[in-house]
Formats: sequence, C-alpha cells, structure tokens
Amino acid sequence: MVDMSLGELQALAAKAARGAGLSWGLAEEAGWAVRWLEARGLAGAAALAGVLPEGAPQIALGAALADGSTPEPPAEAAQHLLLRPFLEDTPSTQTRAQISQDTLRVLNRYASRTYAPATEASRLAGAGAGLSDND
Amino acid sequence: MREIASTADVPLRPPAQVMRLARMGSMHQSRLSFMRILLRRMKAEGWRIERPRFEIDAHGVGTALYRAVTPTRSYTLVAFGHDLPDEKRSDRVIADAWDATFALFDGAPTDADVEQLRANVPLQEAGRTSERVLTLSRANRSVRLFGHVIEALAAGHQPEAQKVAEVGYLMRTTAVYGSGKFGNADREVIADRPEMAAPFQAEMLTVYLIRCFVLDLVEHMARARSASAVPLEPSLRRRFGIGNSTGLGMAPFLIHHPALINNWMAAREEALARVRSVETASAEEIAVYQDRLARAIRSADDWNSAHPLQIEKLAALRPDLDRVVGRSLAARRPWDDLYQWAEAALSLEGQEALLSLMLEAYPDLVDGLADCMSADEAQFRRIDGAATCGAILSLLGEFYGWADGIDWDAPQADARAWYVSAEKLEPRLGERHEEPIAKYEQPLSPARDAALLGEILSNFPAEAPIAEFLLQHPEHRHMVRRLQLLDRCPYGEVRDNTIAHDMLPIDLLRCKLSFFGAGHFDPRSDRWVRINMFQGAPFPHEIAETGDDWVYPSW
Repeated sequence: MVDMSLGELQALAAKAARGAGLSWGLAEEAGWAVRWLEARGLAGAAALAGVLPEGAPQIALGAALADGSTPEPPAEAAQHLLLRPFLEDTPSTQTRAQISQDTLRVLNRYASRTYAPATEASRLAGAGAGLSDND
Repeated sequence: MREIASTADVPLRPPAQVMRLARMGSMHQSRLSFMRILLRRMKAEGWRIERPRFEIDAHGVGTALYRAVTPTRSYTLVAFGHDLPDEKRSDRVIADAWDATFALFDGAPTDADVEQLRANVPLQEAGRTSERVLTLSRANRSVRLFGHVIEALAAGHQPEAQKVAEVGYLMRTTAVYGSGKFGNADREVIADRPEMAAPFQAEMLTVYLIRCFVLDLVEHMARARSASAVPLEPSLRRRFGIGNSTGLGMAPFLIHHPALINNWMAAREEALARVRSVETASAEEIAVYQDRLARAIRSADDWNSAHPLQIEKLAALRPDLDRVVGRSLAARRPWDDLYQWAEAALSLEGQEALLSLMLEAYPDLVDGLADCMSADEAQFRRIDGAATCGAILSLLGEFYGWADGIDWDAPQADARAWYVSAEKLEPRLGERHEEPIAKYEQPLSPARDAALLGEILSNFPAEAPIAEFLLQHPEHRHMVRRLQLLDRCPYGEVRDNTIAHDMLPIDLLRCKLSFFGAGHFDPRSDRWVRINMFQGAPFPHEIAETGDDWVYPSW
C-alpha cells in the first residue's frame, strides 16, 4: 500500500480518467469523486481503476444526476460506489488514502496516455531553458 | 477566508484592465505579498527560531534543523547538505541531484523521522513524503558567489559588495513543492491554522528558513577553512536573499486556480481603491511614501537583467520613478490624483510599481485584506445544471467578449499548445503546427475553448437548461464550470490568448512570483525567470526591531 495525499490522488485519478477518454470536465469529476470516497474511507481509487477499461460511464451518469438532467439512475447502475459522491452529502473522515500497487499501476497506466513522449527538441525548447544555469 | 466588502468610494479597476498579461507581467511585490504577511505575523506573535542541530562538515555536507516556534506550534526545516559535482548542477526540473535538499516538517521530528526523511528528501520527486511534511524543496549554490564569499570570509575580510549586489544570493531554490505533492500534507490539513491561512505560508516559511541555513552554512564553511575567518558583517548579510529559478511548471497554476487568483487580485485592487479613496494624506503618510519611493529607486538601480524585454522595461521604470518623485500630493484624494496621472503618463511597469508604493503608508487599510486571499475552491465544483443556455451564453459574452476578434483559423492564434512531458511530468509549451503534440494538449486555453463552446451553444435553445446541453456535449463541461465560477470570481481569468504565437509565459510567472513577494525579476528566456526572495529581510534575532519596510533597501 502507498500512503497518498488526497490531493495527489485526485490529480492522478483525473489524469487517468482523461487518459481513458473522458472529457476534461468529466475527468475533473472523476478526480473529485475518488477524493470524496477516499476521504470517507471508501475505496474510490480501486473503483475507478476497475471501470476505466470501459470508459468509466458511472462518472458521466453521476454528473448528469448532479446536474439534474437525469432524474434517477437506472436500477442496474444505482448501487455503484462511484455514484455516491454525486448523490450524498456526508462529512469526510480521512485526510489520507492507502492505495494498493495494483490500483496505482492501473491509474498510472491510463494517466500516462496524457503525456507527450519527450524529444530532445521539446526538452530544450518546450521548457525554455538553454542558457547556462550553472552560475 | 473572508469575503471582501468594498469600503472604497473610488471604484476598483475592472478585470478587463487588470487581467491582461502585459500588466500582470509588470506587477511588483506589495504589502499583500505572502513573504511580508509571514514576517508581519512572525513579529507580531514573537516567533522564536531555533537551531537544534547543525552537523555539517567543511564541504557543506551533513544535516541541520531550523525550528520556527509559534505561540501554539512549531515547524522544522530539515536541511540536508550534499557534495554535488559541478557538472551535475542544473536548475532544470530534469536535474536529479542538488547542493542541498529540504523538507518543512510539521512539529519537531524525532531522530527516526529525520532518518526517514534522509532516505527520501534527497531524491526529491523520486522519493515519498508523509502527512507530517508540508513542503519539499532543493537549492543549488550560485557558482558566481558561493565560493567567493567563503574565500573572503576565510581570509578574514568581507566579500566584495559589488559582487554581492550583482548576484544577490548564495543559493537558488529550483522548486518548493507544497500541498499534497509527492505525499506531502494537503493544504486542507493546515488551512485552518491562523498562521497557515494566507496562501503559501508554509512555502514562504521554508524559503525563509533556507536563507537562515545558507548564511550560517557559508560562515561555517569559512571557519572550517581558517581559524581566522570572520562572519559576515550584519548589514551586508541582510543583502543576501535566496534565489529562485522558475520555469514553465508554475505558469499553468494561474489558469488552473481561477478562484484563488481572483481573491489575490481582488484583494490587491480593493487595497488600491481604498488608498485612492483617502481624502487627504497626512504629513506622516507622505513621509512614509516618499521614503519607500526613494528606496525603490535605489532597488531599481540594483535590478540587473540581460534579457532584452526586461532591459526595456527597466529603461522605462527608472525614469518613471524619477518623474513620480516631484508629483504633488496636495489635491483632494491625492492618491487617486496621482494614480490617474500615472495611468496616462507611465509605463505599465511604472504604474504597477507605483501602486505598490501607494499602499505602503496604509497598513490599516491594506493589511487586513491578507485574510481574504485564500480560496475554498471546492465550493465551485458543482455545476448549476438549471441555468439556461442563454444565461451561459451571456456569461460567455461578459468574460470572453474580448476574444471575439481573434481569428482562430489563423495559425498564429493557436500556435502553441500546453502539454505534459512523459519524461518529468512537467508542463511544457510546444508549437502546435510543428510538433505532434496537439493530441496531448492540456485545457489551458480558455479563450479558444470559450469560442468553441459559443459556436455550438448559440445553436441550442436559449431557454433549455445547460444540463441538457452538457448531456450531449460533455467536451464543454470544463468551460461551463469555469463560466459559472467566473460569475462569482470576476478577476479569475487572464484576458489574453494563452496559446498565441507571441504569448510570454514569463508574464504569468511574474504575476504569481510578485504575490510571493519576489523582486528583481530576471527573465532567462520567454519562459524562464530568476528572482530573489527575502533579500533585505531580518534574520531571526532582528525581526523584533525590523519594520515591514525591509523589502526596500536600506543600504
């Protein structure tokens, strides 16, 4: 298990959701949902990792429920853990999350799809260095 | 965080004027800078700074602890000194070794805690920290000055003042990672503590304590070299700040945190409006202002940059400040009179410098606004799905109308793309039409995204709820959220094209760094800037007798 801050986990979950094909706005929701669950001692990160291969449709559904465009979740989806952050309002109990290596591997694999492969040109020009900084 | 209730009669400068990159890239430190907020509190509460451990060898290698003791808590800087070969020294984020590495520990670490940190902190991004760690940072020696100072002190004399002025610091930090990064405590963990409520207080305390360490370090290394070594003369010692070298990694922050930026900007604009509303200036207030102005002129003379853009700005700033000196303050509402003159007569660099100076004589009007500068960003998470598409369109007009004239089909308009590199997971800026990066683009071009949203939304029924639109168009969700946030945070958006071919990332960097309280901005390119932090600041034993004017040179 890795002891993580909720902030870094939220950021990783959002990137992973983006990597799985969610829009930026829904990826943000995924990050918040994972944070919300983990802050209540619920295994949000593992839940998201489990549904990323199918594009995490629970996030879009949760957002639609929260927005009010979908009045009720379909019965077969209603019990999914990832919907709770969009429907409940309960206080948080934790400030950290303990995440398994397996879950982290999945999240990191999806997150890495959002990173551009480095080239020597981008290394120099993209970051804007090039002058001596050893002075 | 408190909401600002404006008490000014003069209206605030509107976001359309303030939130332009050229102006943001001309901002200066002020009474509301985070370093000054921290030092005012340290003085008011009588914080003690202790050095419970200093086990450093003649080469600067070892461990030191610096502890800030507040009335209710303590925070400890854990410093590791390393022996870094010259060829490994780099300010770039891709470096993997540094002259010194640091963690700010919440409370007093045990020996076991320190050993745990020793296994991780020197690795920086490659290590893991815990909830007891508030910041993680590192610094490199200034090759130009570090050795010179040690040699001089070891030889029994002071270093050359000219050399000290040219560089201004002995070490440069190349990153100070705070909230939640690499396992650090989230900001939420400390945000309710009064001493951590203002933004970036843990980071500023880290840098302040690093400065204490670095000055002790050179004196210690000089003593290790020679029994007849002398310490730095106190007034010269004050002239060393801590350098910082900041690249693109910081630039997206301002776009990612619109509610926070709004609160920083709104506090500063309210401060300006309050001072402009003052009916008459007392002789005492004018004396304070004139003193700071004279010292700001000396500071501008010491401000060196080799970058053409900054050279040009300094060439305008110096005569601007000289022209301000002779202005009368006898009019009714003298500061408003002065400001209106400045807006017509001075460069942006001069106007923004004057703004900061105008606040100096009014701690009672200004300093309390420090309590309004943090932000509870979570409150903007939910989208109001019942808002109509017509209402969202009208927000688009209000906050992005300035961008209507941009032709997004022109390659100059979307020339750049922000992306994250696989190598260091750091933001970079590329040329969209020349590199294969567009598919990795980060959502850091709100003006372009607003235009895309407007195109589609204008064909949707105006009375339909936005929730319905989002069901069909989830790709616009981030912009709808942003618009509803901006409705409550009008200073939250940069009103310039952040992917234009000629956009200058250093403008974003300077805005943020000026809120930190940095000075002597020295761009190294259009996306890389060096600064000096805490230059002139009192050392721990001097805090009680030092006023909040230390940022202006007294030498």
